[in-house]
Amino acid sequence: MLDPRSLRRFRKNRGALVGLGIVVALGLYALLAPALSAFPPELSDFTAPRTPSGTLSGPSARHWLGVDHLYRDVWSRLAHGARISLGVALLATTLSSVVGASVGMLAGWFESTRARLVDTLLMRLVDIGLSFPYLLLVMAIGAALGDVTLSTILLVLGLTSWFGTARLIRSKTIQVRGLDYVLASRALGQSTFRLLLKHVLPNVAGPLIVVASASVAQMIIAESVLSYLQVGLPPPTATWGRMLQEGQSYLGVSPRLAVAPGVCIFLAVLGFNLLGEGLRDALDPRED
Amino acid sequence: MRWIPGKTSWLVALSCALPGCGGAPAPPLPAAGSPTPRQGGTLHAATFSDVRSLDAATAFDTVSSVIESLLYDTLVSYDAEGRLTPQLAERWALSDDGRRYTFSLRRGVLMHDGRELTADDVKRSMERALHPDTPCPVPSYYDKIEGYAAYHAGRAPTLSGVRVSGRYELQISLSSPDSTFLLLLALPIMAPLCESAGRTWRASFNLEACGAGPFKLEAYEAGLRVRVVRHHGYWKKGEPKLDAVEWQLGVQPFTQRFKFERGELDYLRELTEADSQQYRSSAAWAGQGAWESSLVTLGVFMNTQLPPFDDVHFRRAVAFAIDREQVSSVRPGNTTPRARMVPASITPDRPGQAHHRYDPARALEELALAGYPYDPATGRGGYPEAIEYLAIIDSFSQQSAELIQQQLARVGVRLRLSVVGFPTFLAKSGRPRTVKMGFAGWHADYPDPSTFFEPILSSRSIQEEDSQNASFFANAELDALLDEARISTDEARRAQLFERAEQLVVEQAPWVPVHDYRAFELWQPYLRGYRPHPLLPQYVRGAWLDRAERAASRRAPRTTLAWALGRGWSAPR
Repeated sequence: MLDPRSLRRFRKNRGALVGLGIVVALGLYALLAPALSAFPPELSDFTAPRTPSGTLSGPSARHWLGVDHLYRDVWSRLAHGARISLGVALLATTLSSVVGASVGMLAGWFESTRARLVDTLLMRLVDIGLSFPYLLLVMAIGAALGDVTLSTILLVLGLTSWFGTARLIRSKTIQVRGLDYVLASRALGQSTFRLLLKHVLPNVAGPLIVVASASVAQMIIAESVLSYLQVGLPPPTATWGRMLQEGQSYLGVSPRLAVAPGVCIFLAVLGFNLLGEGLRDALDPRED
Repeated sequence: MRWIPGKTSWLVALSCALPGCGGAPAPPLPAAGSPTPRQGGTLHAATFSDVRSLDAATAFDTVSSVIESLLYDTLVSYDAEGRLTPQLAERWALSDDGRRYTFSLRRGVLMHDGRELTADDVKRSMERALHPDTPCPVPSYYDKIEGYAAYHAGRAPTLSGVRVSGRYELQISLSSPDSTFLLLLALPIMAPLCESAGRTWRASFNLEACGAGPFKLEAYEAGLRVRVVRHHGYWKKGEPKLDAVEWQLGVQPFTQRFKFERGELDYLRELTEADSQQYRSSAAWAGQGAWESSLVTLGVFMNTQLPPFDDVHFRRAVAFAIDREQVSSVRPGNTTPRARMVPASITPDRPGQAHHRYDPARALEELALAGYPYDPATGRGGYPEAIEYLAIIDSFSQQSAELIQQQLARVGVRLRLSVVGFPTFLAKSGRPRTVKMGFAGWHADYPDPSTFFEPILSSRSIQEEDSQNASFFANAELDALLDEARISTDEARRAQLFERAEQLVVEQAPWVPVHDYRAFELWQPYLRGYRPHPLLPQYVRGAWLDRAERAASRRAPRTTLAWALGRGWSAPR
């Protein structure tokens, strides 16, 4: 996907490299979560003491980031929170990208053809979707669902965030459709499906990756908001948003409980945004 | 654009990441020490929860009852020491056979609508509360009133046991003596309501609550605020001192603390454990706070209508698997482990009393008897499905649920937590065959052990909606014990009966007491005349404010951060 010139541009972009570094580090943290923590994230360790002033047990060799209000290991909960936050964000983005790209390519392909009704219908659907404030929509659905599982979160996030992608891919598809070699392939009788798969998809892949990178950051925030507002995964599941919500009550005596997940959310969003910007710059020939 | 981290921001971030940074309470807002109570001002308070109802006949939770205590007066109430005292009734007399009360009402008592209170209003309000169409949560409390059964079943047009014998005189006849009857009349359920309440219940009265209390309802915005203003026609001359009381709803405890320090709240009760300890150990706040009485038992209910809790062995397994010490250790100041239904403040603990106990081995035995053997070493067996456990969002019930979830998992019972708002919790848990298990809590309605059995465990309190008996537990022996205790005036015999009731709860385990609870209450120095009442939660009727001080404090809001930056970080004083 990245040709040598694009790769060279990416390597020269320090912001992109920092973003990539953060993303890789958080990815490794999430993948190695069980090995990195000696304590299960949902298990209390009642041997961790509290000070007489009510301060929760702070960082120690046993608990690297101390314990939370229910004597659970903060490091372990952060690591498992990384799994959920990043996992949900990546999978929801994948779902969103697949739906958005499919709708965008179909709409763009049929634009100005006899089947342009397909384009009209799909784009009006996109208009309706984009007219809702994204986070508000996600929160409303989350609250209405009641019992939320990992798959419902994935579906809610993935199926409410593809509208922007669809619009972008549609405009890109309209450009690609008019290229000579695509017209030649059409003249040779290739099916619409093959044309979309072989000629359009590779041409829209670049912008799709850029949008997806930024979308991951948006998904991380959305999942955190849902958890923070307690309409996400039920307790005691460790998510960064829930940890932030639980930690705020102890901001006065144990600020690390809120600071730690807050920093993680910040780094993850920063990392994916820097990476997305870097990819956009790298894939843009005007950068040369 | 390049981003360069400033050294200061890193230092602040680093310092805030260290344990013990900040958190010391800001100094209290000043008080002038006026010797005489002043009239005027609005008292501001907050709660994390919402108010479910303000209709005296139906509201029956600790949040609603706080507002109700401002809106409604009752025939009898409690004085500052918790002794029963006349309120709207000037006096009462009991017949020799203990079955007929005659109440003489105060004259000149004006309701919120400006009309004078008469015996007709009292009768109408009682009939409204016990009408078959009224979702009164505890009608069985009043089943000793003659004619109750026929009236509550819709077979009689009036409650024959309540008779108006004069404009200001009312007679209530009982089918048998009831040692708790006067205490029950002190509940807002029996509060006289304005004529606008009608003879039968309607939901809209919730928004236009009207009684004879010292304050009348001005605004009720669900989830946002309740504002009550002074009832100028209140019968007790010179009271209340406050012009208004405003409760903010749905405010997180963490936010409440900072609102309190800014002077936006005058009274604070819902403190986090850490904040509570900070204030308690602060010399600057000495004398501005006190513990409320512990009149609460909190625990777990199990719905005996639904499997697997229709099996007593399964219920006992759960009861044996709960480690009360662990749960209480999360809120050491507010809670102490409790293994009996009735709090020690009502029935003092004695050796040899019946009580639950933590015994994981017995839990496994009982689980095997229920048909779900579990091997903790291999993790094989146990109950095959995750059981939904209902708790209240953002409350200690949620935290205790997370701990109980761990404890039950050790004996092979998996829980799936469902956390909902307080009104939803009440609605769901009060519906038959709906919730399998969940958080249970009961605050004494009156100072007698029966209040911890009759409304939450007697078969009479089972209802199709708003059942307080969330276990839907029906046990003939318990019902008979409670019946006898109610008509008995022999204290020793009553104590025996309630001890047997405790024993039954241990044996049958429909409800597992886990801990008691008491809150540490704080108030600003300029809030005068307030002390926690021994029985009535957050009873702020007699409070008054120094308006000049309050205005000054509002001009100079403070935050912990502003104070800390100005004075430097320090340890709690």
